[in-house]
Amino acid sequence: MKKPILAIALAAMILFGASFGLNGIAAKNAQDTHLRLLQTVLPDAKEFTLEPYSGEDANIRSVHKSDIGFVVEASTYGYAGNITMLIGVNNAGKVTGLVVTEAHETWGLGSKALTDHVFLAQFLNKSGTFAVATHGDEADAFSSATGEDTAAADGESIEVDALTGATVTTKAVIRCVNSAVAYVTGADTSSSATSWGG
Amino acid sequence: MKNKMYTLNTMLADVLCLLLLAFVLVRTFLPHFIIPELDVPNMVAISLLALIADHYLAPGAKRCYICIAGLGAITFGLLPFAACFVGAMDALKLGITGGIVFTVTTFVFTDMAERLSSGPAAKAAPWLSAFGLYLAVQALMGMF
Repeated sequence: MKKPILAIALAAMILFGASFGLNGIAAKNAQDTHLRLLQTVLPDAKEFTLEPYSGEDANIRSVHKSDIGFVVEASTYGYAGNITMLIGVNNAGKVTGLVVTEAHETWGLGSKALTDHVFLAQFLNKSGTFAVATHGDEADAFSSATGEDTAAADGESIEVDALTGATVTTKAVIRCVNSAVAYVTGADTSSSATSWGG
Repeated sequence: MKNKMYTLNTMLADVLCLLLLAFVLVRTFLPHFIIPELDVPNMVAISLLALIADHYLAPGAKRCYICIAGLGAITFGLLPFAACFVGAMDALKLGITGGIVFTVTTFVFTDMAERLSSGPAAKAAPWLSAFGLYLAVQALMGMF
């Protein structure tokens, strides 16, 4: 009985020592990476300031303001837990970049939201409300069966082709992007940004 | 034989420690990398790795399921907490879940591997049992 208890205690000490010892480096690297991600999703922005968010949109976690736009950190439920994203929106209300920073979606299906450039590129340089695209008769059948908004059902929405086999994940990404765009354009009337450009 | 009884729990501590140590390094030097959650399928995968190692290091060892559950709970609760991956309350939940998952996995794996451990497939029995069990858990989790 002593042997496994000793093994557990030793493992705990090693992990605590490693975690405690590397804590400073980890915090600095995390900060640098966060800044690099902000600059990736909102290119040409030099400095960011953290804006307090007082709106009612539960998807929005934090907002980083720069001179040319905003980077909104949004999080919503996906197929397997929450999906967290950073979405860059310029002062004209157009999406400049987006990256998934936290997700635990199904490997090979929903996990493609992290890396599928074709899927993610559908949001770039566009402004408005995004919705999952359905085509032709499928759209009518889908809308009447589910009662959900689709691009085909709502002419003003921007169509986004869903990831194959991962409609729930696609919808989660769309919710995050819609929240970010609404924050910047003022469509989210509950937010502190009530006019274009915040 | 009694000495071998606790090899499984020692293996579990070793496997989980190595994985968490790797994650501590990833968190430090590759912070943009998304670290997998310690959910039920991943707990099963870790348990299966420990069970495979135990099968070769301590073949035919007797099982004390109360010890397996207790020590499994301590391992799954304490080590992620020591690595600063979870807070105290989450560690408690992980410990309880981990203890149950580890005990059930051990029971099913032992039963399967013992039945398969005969004839030419005997050496591959733990790997086949682990693979089958992991697929079953994935399929079951997809239903919830």
